[in-house]
Amino acid sequence: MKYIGKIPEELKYTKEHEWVKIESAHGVIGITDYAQHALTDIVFVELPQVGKKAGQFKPLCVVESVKSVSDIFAPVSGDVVEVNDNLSNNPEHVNQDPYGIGWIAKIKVFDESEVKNLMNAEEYKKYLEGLEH
Amino acid sequence: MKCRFIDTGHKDAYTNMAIDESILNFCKKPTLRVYQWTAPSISVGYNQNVGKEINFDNCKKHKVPIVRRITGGKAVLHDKEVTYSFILPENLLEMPRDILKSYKVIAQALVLAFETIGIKAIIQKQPQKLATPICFNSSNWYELTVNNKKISGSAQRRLKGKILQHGPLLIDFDYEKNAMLFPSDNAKELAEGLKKRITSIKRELGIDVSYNEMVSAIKHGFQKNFKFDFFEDELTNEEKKLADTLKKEKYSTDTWNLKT
Repeated sequence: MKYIGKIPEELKYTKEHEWVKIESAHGVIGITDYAQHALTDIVFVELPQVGKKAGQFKPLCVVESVKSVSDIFAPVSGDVVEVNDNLSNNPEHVNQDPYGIGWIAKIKVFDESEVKNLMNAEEYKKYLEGLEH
Repeated sequence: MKCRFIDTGHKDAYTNMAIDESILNFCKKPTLRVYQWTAPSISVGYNQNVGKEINFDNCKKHKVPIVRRITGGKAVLHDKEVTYSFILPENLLEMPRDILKSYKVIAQALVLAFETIGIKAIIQKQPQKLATPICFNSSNWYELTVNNKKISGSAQRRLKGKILQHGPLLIDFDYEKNAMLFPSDNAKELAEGLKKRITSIKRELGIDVSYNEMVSAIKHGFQKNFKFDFFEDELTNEEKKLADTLKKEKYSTDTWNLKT
């Protein structure tokens, strides 16, 4: 049976399985529970540099699991203002708590209207259910 | 389902990795590529530390190029082997998005390829936990073993709904050369250890299998497993152009290959 995982109500989602939580013009970014499960055990997170300008749906950083390397895309455009340095030594936090201590980066959002290009929790759930396999 | 089949023959390490990335970049339909390496070369995983996990001095002394892959996993000395790369949109053939399941379905094609040349390979269902920088020194999920020894391992990259998986099928394996190119306190002991965990077609069958025989076996395995209708093809002009750029600006540079 397909694993859907947790989908918190308050977050917005991308088709590439990232989430973002927007608060006071800043967005905290991570990958979804579904994504961490599909990736298997994460062994390395190549964090973006603070100051990097991220474009919506453009590559933000890279995660490596025991079996694959995958790109993580920015859900909204902005400047990276903070990264979760703990992941350098504890990449498994992404598996353990993808919406909490497994967050990846915080960005200063350029244009909050870009959020309309993202899915809410219900839409993301339907999207996951509609994926092949 | 139609699938491109591309045989690029012998290429240097930098060109080989540049071509795989270029095909992945433009991928709209499945491509199976087979190739070899003009000289023994080491490829390291995306995140490996070359300084710690490779015997850099010996590589330099024996002129063994080191190239970093965009895929994960551990280091491989590419020597007497045929390498396959399989690039496809992940929604094709109901190919599971689940990474382990995608390994499994590709492993089944490789089992059929080995079967064609008379080798019964087993799909490894559980990873062996062995801390080693050498890919072939441990067997991971859905890699292939013969009599509990690894004969083929693969690595994968996912990019915007597309998959690249590549890996070698060992025609022969030089245990001493491998042991010399990786860090160890005792290369002889390392070579003995590798002998217990790695095998090759030559070791299993006692004969040399040619490149062409291997290529047709791989093609047969993928054809049977995925019900592909293969057509022979070449790289497109845009694939060639991007591969040239990637070779020049990425794969032949120390910035990429030796990054820490």
